[in-house]
Amino acid sequence: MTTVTEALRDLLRLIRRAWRRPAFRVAFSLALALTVLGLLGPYVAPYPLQGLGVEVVSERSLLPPSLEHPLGTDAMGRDILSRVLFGLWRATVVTLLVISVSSALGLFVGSAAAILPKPAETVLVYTMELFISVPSVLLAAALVAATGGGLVPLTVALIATWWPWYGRVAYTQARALRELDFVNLPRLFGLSRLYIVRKHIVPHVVSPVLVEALSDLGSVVIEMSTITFIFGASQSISEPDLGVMVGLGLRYITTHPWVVLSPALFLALLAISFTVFGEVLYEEANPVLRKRWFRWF
Amino acid sequence: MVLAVRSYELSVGYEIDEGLVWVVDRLNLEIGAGESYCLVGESGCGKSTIGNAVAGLLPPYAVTDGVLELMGVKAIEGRLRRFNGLRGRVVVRIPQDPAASLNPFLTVGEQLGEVLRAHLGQLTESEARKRVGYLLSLVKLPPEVAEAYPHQLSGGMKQRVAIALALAPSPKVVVADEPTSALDAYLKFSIARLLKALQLALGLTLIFITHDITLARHVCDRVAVIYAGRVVEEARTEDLLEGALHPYTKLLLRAVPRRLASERLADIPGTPPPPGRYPSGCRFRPRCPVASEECTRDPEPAEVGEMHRVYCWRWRSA
Amino acid sequence: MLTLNYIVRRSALSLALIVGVLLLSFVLTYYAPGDPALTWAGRPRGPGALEAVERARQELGLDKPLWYQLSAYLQRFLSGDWGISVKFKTPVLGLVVRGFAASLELVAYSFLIAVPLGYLLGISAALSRGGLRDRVIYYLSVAISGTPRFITAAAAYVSLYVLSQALGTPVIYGRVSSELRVGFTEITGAITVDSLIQGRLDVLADSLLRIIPPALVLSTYPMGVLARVVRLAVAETLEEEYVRQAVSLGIPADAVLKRYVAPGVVPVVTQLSGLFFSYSLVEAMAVEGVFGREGLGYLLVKALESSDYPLIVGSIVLVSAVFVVANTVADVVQAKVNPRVVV
Repeated sequence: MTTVTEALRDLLRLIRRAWRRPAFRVAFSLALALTVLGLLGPYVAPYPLQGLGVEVVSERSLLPPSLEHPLGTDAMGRDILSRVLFGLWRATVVTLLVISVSSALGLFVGSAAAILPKPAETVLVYTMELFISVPSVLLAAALVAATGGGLVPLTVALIATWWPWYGRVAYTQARALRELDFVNLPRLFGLSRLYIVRKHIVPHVVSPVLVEALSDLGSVVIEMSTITFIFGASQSISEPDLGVMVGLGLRYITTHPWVVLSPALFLALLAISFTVFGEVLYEEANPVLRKRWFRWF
Repeated sequence: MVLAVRSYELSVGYEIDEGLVWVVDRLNLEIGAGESYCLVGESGCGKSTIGNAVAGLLPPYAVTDGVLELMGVKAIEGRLRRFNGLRGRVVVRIPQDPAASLNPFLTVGEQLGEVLRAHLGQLTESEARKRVGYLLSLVKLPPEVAEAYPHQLSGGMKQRVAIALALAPSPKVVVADEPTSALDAYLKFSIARLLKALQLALGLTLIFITHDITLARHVCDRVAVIYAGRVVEEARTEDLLEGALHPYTKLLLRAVPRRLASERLADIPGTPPPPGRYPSGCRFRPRCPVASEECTRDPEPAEVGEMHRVYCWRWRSA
Repeated sequence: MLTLNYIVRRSALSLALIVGVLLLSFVLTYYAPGDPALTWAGRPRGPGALEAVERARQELGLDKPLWYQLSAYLQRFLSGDWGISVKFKTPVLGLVVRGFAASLELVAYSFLIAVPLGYLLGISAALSRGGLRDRVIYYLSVAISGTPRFITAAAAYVSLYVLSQALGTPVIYGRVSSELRVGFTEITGAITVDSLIQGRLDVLADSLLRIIPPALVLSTYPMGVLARVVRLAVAETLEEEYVRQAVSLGIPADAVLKRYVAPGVVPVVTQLSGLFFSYSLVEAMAVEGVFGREGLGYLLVKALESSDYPLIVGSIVLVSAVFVVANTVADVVQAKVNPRVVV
C-alpha cells in the first residue's frame, strides 16, 4: 500500500533528523542491538532448555558467574544467561506485538469513528473511553485467572488497554480532516465511507499515530515488565520473563546479587533505550524546540 | 523640536543558520515629539524590523549596529540594546494580529489591570476599574468589555483592546506595526482614524507601519518609503503623494487604485530581493525603469525640498 | 469554558462509562473462557470442590435468561454485594476499598512530590534555553523515568536497608511498624490519614517515614515526564505573540511568567495528571511489593495465587470507576482553567 510506504518514508526522514542528536544515536543503536539480541535469543542461548525453564538442575543452584555460566545460575539451577535471552525474546516480541496491533486497531477505529454517522461514532468513541478507563494490570489479572496463566492473556490485556490511546489520536486528527473538502467531495460522488477512510483519511492520520506508537515503546516495556513483576510472586507465569526474574530474584539480592542484577540490567537498558528513542523522535516530530526561542528576560 | 526617536546609521541583522544577514541598512531617522510618521513598503522590506527595533522587541539572535535614541535616551548603541525601563513607559508596540497578541486566559479588564499594575503599582479595585473604563472609552469601547475574554470579541474590537493596552502605560512613542492588515476593509479606515485621533488628543509620537500607502494620507504628517532595508524617499505626506520623485515611490502610487480613475493599474515587475541577496549599489536597480550606469553606486540623499529627501541618482528624470 | 451544561454533560458521560464498566465486568464474569462457574468459584481443588462450583453456578444463575442475569447482576453490584473473596472469605467490596485506599495513598504522596518538582524543573529547563542546565535536566529525567519503577525501588530499598543496618535506624519496610500496628484500627485503609483522624501522632510519624521513600521512587515517572512536557509547553508559550506583546508593554518578567506563560502550561499539566494516575497505580502496586506494603498489589498477588476471580473482577470495577471519575474531574478542571476549551 502506498500509504504505508509514504509513512515509512516520513519516518525515515524523522529518524535522519533525530540522528543528529548523540543521545539518539546511542539509544537507537542500543535498542536495535537489544531487539536483535532478543529476536535471536532462543537460538544463541547456551542452555536453551534451562532458558525455557523446562530443565531444572537443583544441584547447581545459585552459582556465581563463571565460564560455564557467564551470568551465574538462579535458585533452580538454571543458566541465567539463557533465561535472560529467552526473557528478552519475550519482552521484544510482546512489546512489538502490542504496539503494532494497538496502533493498527486504534488507527482504523479512530478514523472510522470520524467519518461514520453519528450513532456509530458515539458508540466507537464510547468504547475507546471505556477501555482507557480500565487498568491494564487488573484486566491482565482477570484474563490470567480466567485462562490459567501465561503471557497470552497479558498481551491481550495490554492491547485492549493501549489501542484506545491511538484511537483517540487518530480520531482527533481525522475529525479535523473531515471538515476539509477533499473528504466531502468523494462522498458526494457516492464513494463508500470505508473507501474514503482507507484512501483519504488513513494516509494523513498514519503519521501522527506512528510517531505516538514509536514513542510509546518504552512505556509498554515498563508496563509489561511491571505487571509480570507483580504477577511473578504468584507463580502464575511460567514462561521466562525479565520482570518475573527480577521479582523472584529480589529475595536473594543481598546474598546472591547476580540473580537479580542481570535481568534488571537488561530490562533497564531495554526500557531506557526505547524511551530515549521514543522521546527524541517525538520531539523531532513536533517542531517547537528550535535551537533558539525567544527569551525576553 | 524635541526628538522623540532618533537613529543614526542604525542597522539590524539576524543570525541564522547561513550566517549573519543584515535586514535594515544604516537607517537615519529624526522623528519629533507629537509627530506621526509613516513607514511604507512591501512585505519583507524590513519595516517591521525597524518597528521592532524601536519598540525594543528584537529577538535575542538579532544583531544591531549604529545608534537609536528614544526621548534622548540611548536605547541601542552598537551591539548593545538597553530597553529596561523604556518598554511601556516610553515606547509601546501595537501589533499586527490583535487576536494573537491578547492573552487568551485573562479577561480584557484583567489584562489592562496587569499593565496598569506594572507601571503604577498596586491599585485599589475602584481605582483600577476607573482607569480600565477610561482606557476602554478612549478606544470607543463600552466598559462591559472588561468582563469579556478575547475570544468572545470581534476582530475590530480585539484591535481596539490591543490599542487600549498599548495606551495603558501612558507611553510617549507608539509603534503601530500594520495595525489594520488583519482587519476587513471597512475597519481599516476606522481604526486608522482612531489612531490618528488618539495621537492628536494624547500628544503621542506615532510610527505607523503599513504596506498600504493610501492610509498614510489619513494618518501621517511625514512618510518614509522603505525598499530592501533602506529608505528611498522621505517627505511630508502631501509632498510625497503629489510630488513623488523616486521611481519606486512613483510605481507604488500608480499601483494603488484610486476612485474614478480611468487609468490602468500598473504593477511593478519583478519581486523585491530577499535579505542577504541585495544587489550592489541602488537596490532597486534591477526593477527600475530609469536605472543607469551611476546606479551601481550607493545613492546619496538629495535634499529636494523642505523635509523632502530622495535617495536616487536619477530623481530628476520624470 | 466551564459551564453548567458542560458539567452536566460530562457527568452523564461518566455515569454511562461506569455502567459500561459494570457491563464489562459482567462479560468477564459470565463469559470467561471455559466454565464461568468454575472460574467464579476460584478453580477449587480437593474435597468440597464440586459443591463450591455448584454454589457458584447457583449464585451466578447461569441457567437463567440473559436479561435476568444482567439485571440481577447490576442490582447486586449497586447494592454493594460484590461477592465473597475466595481467598479471604470476606466481602470483596470491603477488601478492595481498603486495598485501593492504601495504594491510592502511595500514589497521592508521589503526586505531591512529582507535580511541584516536575513543574519547577520544567520551567527551569525552558528558561535556560538550550543551555547546560536544560540538557542535564532533560537527559537525567529521561534516563530516570525510563527505568522501570520496581527496579529503582529495589535499588532504593537495598540502599536504605544497608544504611539502616549501618546506622541502626528502623528498616523501611511495610506501612507501619509492627509494634504500632497493634491496637491501631484502620478506617479508610490509608494509614497516614487514619492516624491523623484518630490523633495518633506516633503512628502518623512512623507511617510518614515509611511512605516517603517509596513515594519518592514512584514520583520519578510523573516528575520526569512532567518536567519534559512543561519544558516544551513553556518554550511554546514563550514564542506566543501575546507574551511578546506583554514584554512590549513593560510587564516585568515574573508577572509575565505567572499570568501569561503559566496559564498556557497548566492545562497540559492537568491533562497529564489524569494520565499519570492510571499509570502510577500499576507502578504503585509493584513498588508496594518491594517495600512490603499491603495494598492492591498484595491483594492481586494473593488473588492470582488462589484464582480469586470475584476479588479481581471487583477490583476492576472499583478502580475503573475511580479512573472515570478522576478523568471527569480533570476535564472539568481543564475547562475551568482554560477559557478557550470548546465544550
